[in-house]
Amino acid sequence: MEQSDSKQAGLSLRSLAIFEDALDVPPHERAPWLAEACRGDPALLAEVKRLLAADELAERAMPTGGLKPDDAPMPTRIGHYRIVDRVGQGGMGDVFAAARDDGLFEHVVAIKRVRPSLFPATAQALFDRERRALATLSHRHIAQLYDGGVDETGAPFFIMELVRGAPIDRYVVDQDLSPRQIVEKVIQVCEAVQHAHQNLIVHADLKPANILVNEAGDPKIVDFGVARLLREEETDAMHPQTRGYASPQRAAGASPTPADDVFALGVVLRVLLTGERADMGDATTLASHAIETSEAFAGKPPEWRHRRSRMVQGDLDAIIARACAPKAEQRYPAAIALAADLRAWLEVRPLAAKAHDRLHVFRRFLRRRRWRVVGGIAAALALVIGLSVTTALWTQAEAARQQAEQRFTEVRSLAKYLLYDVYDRLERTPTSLAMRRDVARVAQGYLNQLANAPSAPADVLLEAADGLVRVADLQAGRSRPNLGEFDEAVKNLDSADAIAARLSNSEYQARVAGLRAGIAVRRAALVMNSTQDLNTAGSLLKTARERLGQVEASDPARLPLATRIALEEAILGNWKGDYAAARARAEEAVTLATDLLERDRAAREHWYLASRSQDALAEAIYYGVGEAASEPEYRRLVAVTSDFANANPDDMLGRRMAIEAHWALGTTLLGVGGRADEAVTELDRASALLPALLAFEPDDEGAIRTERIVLAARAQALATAGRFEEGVALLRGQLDINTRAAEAPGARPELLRSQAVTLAMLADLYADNGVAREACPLYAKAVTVFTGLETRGLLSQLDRDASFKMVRQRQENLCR
Amino acid sequence: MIAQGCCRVTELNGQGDKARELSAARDALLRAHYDEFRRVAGRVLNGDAVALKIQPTDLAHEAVIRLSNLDRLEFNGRTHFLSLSARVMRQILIDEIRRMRAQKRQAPPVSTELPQEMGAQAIDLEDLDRALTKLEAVAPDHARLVDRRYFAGLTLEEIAELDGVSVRTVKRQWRAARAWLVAELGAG
Repeated sequence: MEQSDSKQAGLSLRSLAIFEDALDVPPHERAPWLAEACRGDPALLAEVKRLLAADELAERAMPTGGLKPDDAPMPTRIGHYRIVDRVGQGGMGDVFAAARDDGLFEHVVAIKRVRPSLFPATAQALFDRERRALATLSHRHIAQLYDGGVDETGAPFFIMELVRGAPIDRYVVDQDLSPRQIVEKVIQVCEAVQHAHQNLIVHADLKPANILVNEAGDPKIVDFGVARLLREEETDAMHPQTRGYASPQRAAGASPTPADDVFALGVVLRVLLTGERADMGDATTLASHAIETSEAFAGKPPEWRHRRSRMVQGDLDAIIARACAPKAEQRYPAAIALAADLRAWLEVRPLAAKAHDRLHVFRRFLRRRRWRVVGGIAAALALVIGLSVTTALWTQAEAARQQAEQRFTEVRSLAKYLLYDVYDRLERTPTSLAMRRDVARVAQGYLNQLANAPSAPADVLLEAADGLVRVADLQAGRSRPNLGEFDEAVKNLDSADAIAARLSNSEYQARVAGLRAGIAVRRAALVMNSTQDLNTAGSLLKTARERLGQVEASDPARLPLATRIALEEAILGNWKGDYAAARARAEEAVTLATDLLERDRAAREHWYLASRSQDALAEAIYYGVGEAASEPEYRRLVAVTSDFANANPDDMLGRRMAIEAHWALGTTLLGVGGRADEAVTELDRASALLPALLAFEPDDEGAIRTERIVLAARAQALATAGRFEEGVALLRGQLDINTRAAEAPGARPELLRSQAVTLAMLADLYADNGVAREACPLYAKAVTVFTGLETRGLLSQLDRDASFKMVRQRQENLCR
Repeated sequence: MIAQGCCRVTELNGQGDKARELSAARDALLRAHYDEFRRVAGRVLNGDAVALKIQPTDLAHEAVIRLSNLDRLEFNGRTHFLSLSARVMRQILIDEIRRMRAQKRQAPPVSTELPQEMGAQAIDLEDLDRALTKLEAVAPDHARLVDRRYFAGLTLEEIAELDGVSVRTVKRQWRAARAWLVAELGAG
């Protein structure tokens, strides 16, 4: 079997060789030639003949010997349209001319049908949404998109204005346009691109083939945003723009931006003017890459191209270079700025692209005025100076306008969208902590970009500062489940304040005062919570009060701000042990917060302020007067936080504050004496609210800490209520869970820490109830775990100063 | 110079034993992109599931576009890369078809356009694969040419340039390979 196979193989190989040679023999001489070539081997002869017969069959089917492109039959209808003709075929699909003949007049359109393989089924919804947006794009130099859909074979199609004409490079060659005429056309194209950019649509695939010139000589951009639409589901890197027209950023796989369209416009301009297309997209390959000739210009003699290249040297070259600068920020800030320079070139005015070049300005000026300038060089120079000043001013004003229109609209809306819509939604989504952190970081990047733009207008700066305050709130504000990034929050508040300070004397003075008061009060809160520098906190609050005085009474931000300041003052009083002052400030805050809630019970901030103010008031009385006196205030706190939680079931902040309120009331009752049973009830309530909080964000350290505090208090309350064994069992159960997790291979340090803390809690419970025999081994074990963490450098300073220190002290007092 | 500017080959190919490093770099490249090829093949198959008629050049173009940032490839780099990947693309396409068939017992035949070119009826891609495997044993150069022409979508001119031979030579070889396949498939 093998034998015959290999024999067969040898036969085949030889027959292939003879077949190939036979192709060179004219058909009528083949029979004798073959007989000679295969002499004495009839099997070989038969095999070669078989191959020749097969070849004839194949050649008849397709004489060219190549694969034909997609040659599907032309459909008769698409949607409501009758197909009239096929007008084009490309990599993306077919283009048909079609007529809608159900009305009184016949409306001829172009229908572009896209190959289904370029269109993932999952993109359907996006396709529908986006093409509606594209359909709103209406401009004289943009082929109007009317409608679109998906045909019965699943191929998406677009119905658009039928442009009868040629691609612009072909048009330029056929009509033999002069550089001036070319520049005029490109200006029109730039204006159309600008219009689209202002509607937040980028083309993403600008090239001569997508710029048609109709019979009237009007350029019409086709396929606006279509390339992007089809690729949205894919990573854009996978579908790079047509080679040569893609900016380095696009080539590297970045999503398309207006700056990439500007780049492509620069390449188009170059191609149209010179017929040459250097591969400007990739500076590294430029040297090794021969300059290619655009196909449409293939018929032009090399001398023509050479002449054109020389003609372009200088001004137009500078314009192209700026449009095609490798870095986006070095390019024209917008398509309209490119158009402006082209127009300046047409009108022989100094260019922004070379505005720094005084000599250039002078030369330009002389050329323009050469018939009229009769004065001396001095007069001309005086004029030049005047001109260059004007140019600089124009450039600045223009640049500012561009930035405001282009980057700001996009960046602003993006930052806002991220910080408010996305973040708020994420906050109500379980286990989104990491994502929220990323979102905050990205938004912050945008805000910094806004704030650092040299010519950013005041309202944009104000918004950026506002946004940074918001980011700081997300990072470390107490009004929400924050990200625990205190240092970053301080930095953001400081830079927000620096931005706002620049606007202190602007028309926004009163708003700036409010913003800065808000910043100061937040800084004070952070200082109290982290470094405990109470003097600094005090002066920050003083600043906040002063600035509050400058806020207009009608400003809706005033009341929440006043509440917040009173609240933080109360908290400062509590920290300083000035309980009388704290109580007064807290009472004021509670009154103001009640007003706020009456104004709007849906606002989360109002609930937060009301709850925190009530908490501060209860604390002031608890420490200033006594446990029994504070009980009614804590009951009020339980009521307001429960309302908060019930009104916003998805909002974990309300739930967390309710848990803390139950805990505070429970531990207060525990201190009153004789009411340990009631305390157990409150702490059980706190405990019942915990699982949902923990499930929502398992990594939320605040929630984990809260759980542990509640657990310890419950155990203590049970012991006080004469149910010592139950308390022990509660903590033992928790300890078992923690120990198992901590002793699993590869346990994270947090788990070891949890184990140590629970050990200490159980030891404390035994120690408090005089069972030193049980307490001491537990303390010893806790010390071992903490020491292990410390030697590995994993013990936090807070634990070293608090938990670990306390464990060692109690161990020393009790066990030696 | 191979695949300059393409897919980091140049970076890996710094100094020293160039040929060895180059082939190691290429293998790494293909390995790194194996999953990508598979996704492309899967999408080609699923995307046109209605007809299940494959235009293998779709596969080739999509693969290379997705893989290697077409516009960053030197011309030689692109064709060379495609040429190197042709066999892999074919293998993956066939694997995907088999996988698809294993999942759906009633999977329709996956046909290809090559038979159209040959003037024969639609043919199952797996049959074509079997025939090509057989041709590989008989005449590996011819089989490789078909892979490159058909699964990588290279033109005969591109192949000639890559191999440094005349277009005429490649055309003759192509016709021979094609005739062999038509005869083989017709007989099967």
